[in-house]
Amino acid sequence: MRDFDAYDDTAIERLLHEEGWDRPLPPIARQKPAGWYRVAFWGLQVYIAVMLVAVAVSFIRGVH
Amino acid sequence: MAVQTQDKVAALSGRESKFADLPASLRERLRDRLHVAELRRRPRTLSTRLLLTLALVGPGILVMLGDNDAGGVITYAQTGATYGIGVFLPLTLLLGVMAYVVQEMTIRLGAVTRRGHGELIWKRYGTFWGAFSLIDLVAANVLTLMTEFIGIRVAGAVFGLSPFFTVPAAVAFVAFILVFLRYWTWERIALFIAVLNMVFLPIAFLSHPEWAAVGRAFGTWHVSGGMLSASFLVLVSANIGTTIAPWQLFFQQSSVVDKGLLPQDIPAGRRDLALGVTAMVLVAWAIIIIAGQTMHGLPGAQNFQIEQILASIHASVGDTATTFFALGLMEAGLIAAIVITTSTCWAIGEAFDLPRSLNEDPRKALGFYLPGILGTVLAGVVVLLPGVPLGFLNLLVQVVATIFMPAAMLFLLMLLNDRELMGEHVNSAGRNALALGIMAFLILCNAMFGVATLFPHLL
Repeated sequence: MRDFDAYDDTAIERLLHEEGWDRPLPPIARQKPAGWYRVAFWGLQVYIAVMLVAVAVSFIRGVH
Repeated sequence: MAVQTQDKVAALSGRESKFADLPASLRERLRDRLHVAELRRRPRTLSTRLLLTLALVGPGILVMLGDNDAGGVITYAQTGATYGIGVFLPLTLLLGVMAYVVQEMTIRLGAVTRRGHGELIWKRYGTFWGAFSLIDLVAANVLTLMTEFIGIRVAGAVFGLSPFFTVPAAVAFVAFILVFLRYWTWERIALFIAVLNMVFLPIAFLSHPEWAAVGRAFGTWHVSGGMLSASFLVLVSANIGTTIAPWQLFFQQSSVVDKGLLPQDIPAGRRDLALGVTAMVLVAWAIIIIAGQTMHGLPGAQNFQIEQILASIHASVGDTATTFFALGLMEAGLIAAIVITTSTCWAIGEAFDLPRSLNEDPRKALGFYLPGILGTVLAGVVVLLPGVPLGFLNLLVQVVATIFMPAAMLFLLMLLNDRELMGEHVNSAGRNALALGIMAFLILCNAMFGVATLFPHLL
């Protein structure tokens, strides 16, 4: 593979422009959960809580 | 002649000053992209196509062969030892297809948004879920790295190497290529190591399996004890757990971003992933065949650990096969250590908005490189401690993955349906239905394996 400086200016400029490397990425806004997203998040939180309790119980009982 | 040289120097110096203000990491990435663009402009000959394919492969092959890690080798071997060359051969093919569907989404997500999985979760769904994902990923990665180093330690012992040499050497190698090589070179070296995963294929031939029986395995789905038996379900879940893990989602997406892949590269990314999945399935088949041939029917085979697996291969197939298997195990641990360590660096860089590219100079991006290296060093040190409880480590890995997997899957699906982020590359209804079905199945099996691990008497 050639070194960066071995490519000509036009090729570099064209790539910068065409692929957008000379522009900042658009910002990402925080999305408030709504609809089924909200249900999914609640489900996830319940699942995590249940699994953490299960892990705690199993370790306390010394299953392994 | 002298004038021409002077002109060249002048032109070069002019160009250097024109692009001198570009960050060094961007210059590295642009160089990689210029190489791809140049290959695309050439006439479409066979050699150009091959060079272009080679330039664009990477994330997909690395993630799928990194997935055939030391723990995966043990799982496949236990599977073959328990069920022989039966139902798990077609099932592994099915798992490969599922892995393709899931991982393909990370290619699109990375190429379209140019952001890693961790960054998207953090910015789109807030600090709580971002921190949850990061902590879970890092914990799972460090624990998984311990199992990789155990594999390297055991494989090294086959060659008479002390663990105090093999483990530190592996840690040093992983850290060296991470810190001192830039993305392109790092990826090429990682790919070279990943391809050595194929060493398991000749061992399958050396074990002289009955190829007719291998062929029949794809037509008959007979499971001794039934498909609802606890041991079968646990092995199915373990095989799924080793085929699709949370770190893979983070790794491939960040790798796609760091490689600089864009929406026009998505088809190439898919081909790269298809190659990786094919190689992963072939290696899994090979290990299942080897174990089915050498260990099936032995008492307690389902719970064989790596030392017993190596001893069985040695007894049945001989020295050469054992040497190859040990090399494969060492390679499996090493490539997994490379990709998992890198996924930790990327995830932490994305979470804390640090410079997060392997193209970054380590002197200017210590915060990006250091956490991953420290996690890997910690895993290596723990493995060198006397009396490491391997079973307990495997249990912890599984528990963390069980808790994390549904969250990782949910975020993936939500992000792929986010039209503001994905635009025209958003999941179609059909793809959503397929992904939802696979995700529900994966989550169920993952949870089941977690329950079976924590409460073995329930199943």
